[in-house]
Amino acid sequence: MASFTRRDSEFADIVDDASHVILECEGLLRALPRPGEPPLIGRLRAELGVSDDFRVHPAGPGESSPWLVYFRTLVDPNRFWQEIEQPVAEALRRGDGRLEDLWPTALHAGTVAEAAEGILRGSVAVVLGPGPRGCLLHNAALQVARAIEPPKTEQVIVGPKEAFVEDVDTNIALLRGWFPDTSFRVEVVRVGRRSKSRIAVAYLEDVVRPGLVPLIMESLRRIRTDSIRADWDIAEYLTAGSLTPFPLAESTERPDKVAQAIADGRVAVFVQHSPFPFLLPTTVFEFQKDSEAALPGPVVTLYIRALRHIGTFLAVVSPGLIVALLSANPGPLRPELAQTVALTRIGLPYPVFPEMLAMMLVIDIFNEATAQAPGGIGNALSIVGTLIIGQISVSARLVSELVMIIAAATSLGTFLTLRYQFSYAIRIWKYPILILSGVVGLFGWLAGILFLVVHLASLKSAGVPYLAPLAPLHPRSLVYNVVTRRLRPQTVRRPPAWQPADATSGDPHGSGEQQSGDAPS
Amino acid sequence: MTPGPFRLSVGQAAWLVFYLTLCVTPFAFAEGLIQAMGRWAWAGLLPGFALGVLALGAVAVLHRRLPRDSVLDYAPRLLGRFGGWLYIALLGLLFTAGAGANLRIFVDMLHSTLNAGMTAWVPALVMAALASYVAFFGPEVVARVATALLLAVLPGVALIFTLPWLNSVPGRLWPLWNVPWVSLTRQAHTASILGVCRGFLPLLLIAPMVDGRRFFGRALAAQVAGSILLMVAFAMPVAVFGPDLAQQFRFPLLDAAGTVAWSWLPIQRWGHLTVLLWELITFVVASTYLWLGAAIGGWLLMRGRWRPLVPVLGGAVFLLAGPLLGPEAESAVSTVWNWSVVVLGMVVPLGLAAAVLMRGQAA
Repeated sequence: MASFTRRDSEFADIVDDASHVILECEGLLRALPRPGEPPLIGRLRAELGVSDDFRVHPAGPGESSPWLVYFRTLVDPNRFWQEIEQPVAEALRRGDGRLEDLWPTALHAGTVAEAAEGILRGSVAVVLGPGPRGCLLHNAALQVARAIEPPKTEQVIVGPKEAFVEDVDTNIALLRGWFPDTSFRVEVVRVGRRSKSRIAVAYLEDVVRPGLVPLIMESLRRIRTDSIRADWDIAEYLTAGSLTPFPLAESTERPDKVAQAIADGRVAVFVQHSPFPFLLPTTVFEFQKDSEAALPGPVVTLYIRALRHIGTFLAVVSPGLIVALLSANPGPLRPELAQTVALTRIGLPYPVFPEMLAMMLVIDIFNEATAQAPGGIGNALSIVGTLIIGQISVSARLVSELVMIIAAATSLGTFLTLRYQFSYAIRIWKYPILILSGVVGLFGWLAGILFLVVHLASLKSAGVPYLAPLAPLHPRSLVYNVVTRRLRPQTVRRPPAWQPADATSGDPHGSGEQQSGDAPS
Repeated sequence: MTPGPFRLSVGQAAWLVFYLTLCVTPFAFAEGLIQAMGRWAWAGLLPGFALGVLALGAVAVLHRRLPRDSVLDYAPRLLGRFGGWLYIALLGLLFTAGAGANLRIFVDMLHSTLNAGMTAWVPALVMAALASYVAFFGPEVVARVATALLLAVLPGVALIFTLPWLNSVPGRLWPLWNVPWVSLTRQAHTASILGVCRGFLPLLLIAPMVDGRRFFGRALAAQVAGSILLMVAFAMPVAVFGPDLAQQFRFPLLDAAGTVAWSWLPIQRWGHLTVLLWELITFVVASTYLWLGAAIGGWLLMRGRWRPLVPVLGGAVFLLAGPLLGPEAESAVSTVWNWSVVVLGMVVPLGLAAAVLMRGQAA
């Protein structure tokens, strides 16, 4: 039995080796130029390797027919037939000598590498002669792009229902729709040694801060990596060296948001295959505003923004504050309140600090599990979490009702922010404050907040302090761009935090083309 | 060689002056001034205010004549190589000791209110570590933190310095005759320290970093605003408790703030709120002093590299802020520090300004 098993194993190894040899030979054979093929095709085969979707064949019958080289999966079959095969067949039938005139927009490949790169980007190489100059690259790339849909990660109640897609060109076209402006500029750079991802930088030439675009382009050109997976890869390269959990670039999928940012003097960076361009520079306040643009008047806007700021602030500080007040410094509490709270804590096994810490961890675990799980499972997880954490832990006297209320409010407050990257920073930062509060009481609670403020004050996004316009203080900008929307429709200043080259927006004299319905014609 | 390249706006620098004016003054000096002068305690600040303006004048003259230079540049030129080096070294020690002294008073105040059951070394460690953390980033970040904290400090100061007046009997401040001139004169020393402490001394180093016009006008405005607040603070305990009772408290302002309590407010003790508010102010002051000490130390010892010195000086500030010294030793150190402030912060800068004026452009 044992010998049979050994023989069987040896036989399997031999078959395995043989199959590898056969595959390698097949690859070598495919790479060899066929009889009658121009020599350039052999070099292209060597450059591009062997793939099952790699196609090399003559365009038509006869020795004068050009050879076509392309990847079947990258080329649009309809365009291939209409723009290449059919015109070549007709030209050959008519006996036309100059086939290159069939594709006036085609590019001549300068080198074999250029030809190979064009083929990899969806062009069909039409080989007319022996050298690289005899190779025309006609773009017949298959457009794989989804339709423009409403934003999914940023809820729009009243406003434009369009979001960016994965294709950079489509995204730039969307943006150009917002900016029929002669100073709108787009610069493209390829990043990634292997992925060669297209990164497009869009801005208004006469508005953006002088020196900002060259700085970004230089940083992009210095990136050394094999591939770029998403926009955040690029953002991390541009904000290299920072260990902060706060996002130093603002990611969005909404063209109206990007258009407004560019008009204010910021720069949008689009990454191929990512529907989330990011904006530079940014500040901590930018993550809390935007969707209220369609709300009626500054008072409602002020209310909504105040709710967000307060809610987010409470999400960071309230667990620590409760711990400090209940464990170390109950003095500031009114006696009635202290008595009520004390009654809820009778019979609980743990002090409030470990209780709160455990609850925060459990809620964060549930949040993360719910966010990562598919829709239906996420809902089920929410129900399980609510039941287990909420009801059972309280009825089992493991945690107090007050801690449950604070945990729930903290969880809600965390998601008041409009960008999910920012919510992670909030979730993380409540822990140092909570721990300091548990150890040193109210003094530690405030020390934790100071720690957070110092951290935020030490950050910069593309040269702009992260706490602007609060620190450094620009009072007018703080009012118009952080607290509320512009109070006066004719406000003509761009946010000074972005240090725009042209600080004035719109018509400073109020003599625009628009007229109100009551204006005399 | 001014440490840099740091740039501060006029507003940021003026707000720093405001913080440095407030310092821990209402807690460090209120007890002594009220004991010595009773209802005229607030008047004890007036000589300090006048001397502070004089000190600002000296710094303004130096900055106007030598706009790109800090004390690190012109002190060796005007006082000679050794004299300048010695003056700058003493300034560095003064700043470091200033950070420690401010924290020491705050920790003492904290220990007597919020954290009575905890060793004073813990808050001293936390505050020194935080001050070192922000000082490590330099004066720009210190100024940004100071500006951001205004969101809490301005309304907090306004509330704490006004609400206790609702429980006061203004008649306790009257009559204003029978002014104790002798005590007032004796308090001139303390008052001068208060005046000089009020933010102008750091300007010897910071002034060349400030971008913008009318800086000294705004600095003076910040100092005036801070001084008025301090006068209100020094008068408040007397108005709330009366001159005799106010003398019984270790921190009269804190106890005056503690009288605020309304049934509709969830917070019972405003004294705790006062301590927390002063944690912010003390933090900014200690950070600024710590950075100044590190910048001078770096200039003296490490060819301008000041960052490595921040944790070292932070450790020294921690030791100074903790209850390392006994009451007698603390009192002796305090006296040395007080006189050092007067000499280094007022006498020498006035001398430097006079020398610059006499030498003209040659300086």
